[in-house]
Amino acid sequence: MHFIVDVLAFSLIVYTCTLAGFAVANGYAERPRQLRDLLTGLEMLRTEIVYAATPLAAALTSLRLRHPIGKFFLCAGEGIDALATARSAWVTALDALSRDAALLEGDLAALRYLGDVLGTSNREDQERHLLVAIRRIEALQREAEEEAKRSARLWKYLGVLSGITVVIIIM
Amino acid sequence: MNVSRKGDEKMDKDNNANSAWTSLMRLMPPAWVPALLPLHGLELRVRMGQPVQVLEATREVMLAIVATEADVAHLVAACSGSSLYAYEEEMKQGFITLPGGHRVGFAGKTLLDGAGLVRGLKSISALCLRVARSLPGCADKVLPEILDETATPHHTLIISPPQAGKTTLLRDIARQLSKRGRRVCIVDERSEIAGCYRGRPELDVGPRTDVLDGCPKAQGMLMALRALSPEVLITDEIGRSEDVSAIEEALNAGVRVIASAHGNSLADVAQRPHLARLFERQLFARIVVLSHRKGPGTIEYAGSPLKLATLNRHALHR
Repeated sequence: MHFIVDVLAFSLIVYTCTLAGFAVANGYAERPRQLRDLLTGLEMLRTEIVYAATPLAAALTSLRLRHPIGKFFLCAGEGIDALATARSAWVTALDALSRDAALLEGDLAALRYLGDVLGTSNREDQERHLLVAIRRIEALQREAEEEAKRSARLWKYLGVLSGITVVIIIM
Repeated sequence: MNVSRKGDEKMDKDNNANSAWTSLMRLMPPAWVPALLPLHGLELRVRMGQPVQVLEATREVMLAIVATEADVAHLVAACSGSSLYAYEEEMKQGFITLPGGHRVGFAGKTLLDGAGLVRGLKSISALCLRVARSLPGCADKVLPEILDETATPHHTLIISPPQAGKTTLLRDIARQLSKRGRRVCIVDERSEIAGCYRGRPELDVGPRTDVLDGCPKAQGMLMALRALSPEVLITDEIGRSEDVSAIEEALNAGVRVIASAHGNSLADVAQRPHLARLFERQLFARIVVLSHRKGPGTIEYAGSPLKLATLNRHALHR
């Protein structure tokens, strides 16, 4: 009887630690996911600007993306709609994004520069600027993906192994 | 009684003009608003590195504010909804029309395409914002002079130096004729008469008025004749040979034409190469001459060209 309780308790410990490891590992998947959403958003924005010449406010608010990237574009678009300039609306939206998102300072810097140029020139020029940002974020996204894969694997192992270690020590 | 009504009307006009100015403050750099708001601006001129200039009806005000690069960028962004790329066609002409019919013209480095035509502007360094004023009733004095006994307008040419109110006058003529049951068509090449924003007139041009916005005058007049069957055709600033041909076409179609031309006097306009043709054939039965003498919109003359010619001869003899 006593033995069964022990087994149950130990497996519970291993299970919890494994779960904790997976949770941390999942956290690493968040940044590449958000970068992917960001890329989708910028590509859609490029289409709207270059092919449809949609005004910026309408183009930004029409993007439907997952939180927090969706909220970022919406917030920027609403700012411009409320007559802030693209530059200031972009900065406000970026500040909110830096609080919500798992993005790093380098990721945000790739976006920050866009605020100064969005809507200030003809379509050809806008496309060039958007492509520069898209290339940079693509590179960051690849890097984030690899890093996430490595770290995720590490944390998953770490979870299981630390569970087993605790069990061994208690035994 | 009569006097007090006139007073009210004048106040209405002032309020009307000033509320347009006030509504434009949302586009200005916030730091400028306290200085701009008390003025009754009709025109705002901003040049990078120069003091901001405001033109009122009778005077020019130079503000103590010097426009910086950031100010100009702010204005350009605010006027275009941060979407300059959406106005590429307009930028080729050098201006965009704002909601409310106000116009912003830009100056800067022009971009040319392969054929040497202006493709747009970059590095915008200066802009000129002209407040659109509708002055309902400003055609009251002119209208009786240009209508015939069946209340149809004669072919009329409005001659006026820049900024003496010819566009404002044309707009009110369109509005009043339209209200009286005439089908009016405005060919508004520079979006000034009706102040269209996204194709819809922002200024009151009457219930029976169609507007061809941003359409080259000559083509637009022919389009209107073909498609819209107007009774009265209104257009601004004629002068080129194709404009004159289009007007002749309209006359043949039995449509009355009201047009304007830059100039200080009939003699001025009659000397211009293409317009001379219209005068030789005596196509315009009525001439209206405007000037700045008592402020914008001073009506110097309204009536038949023959009488005007006699008047001028008298003036010369004296």
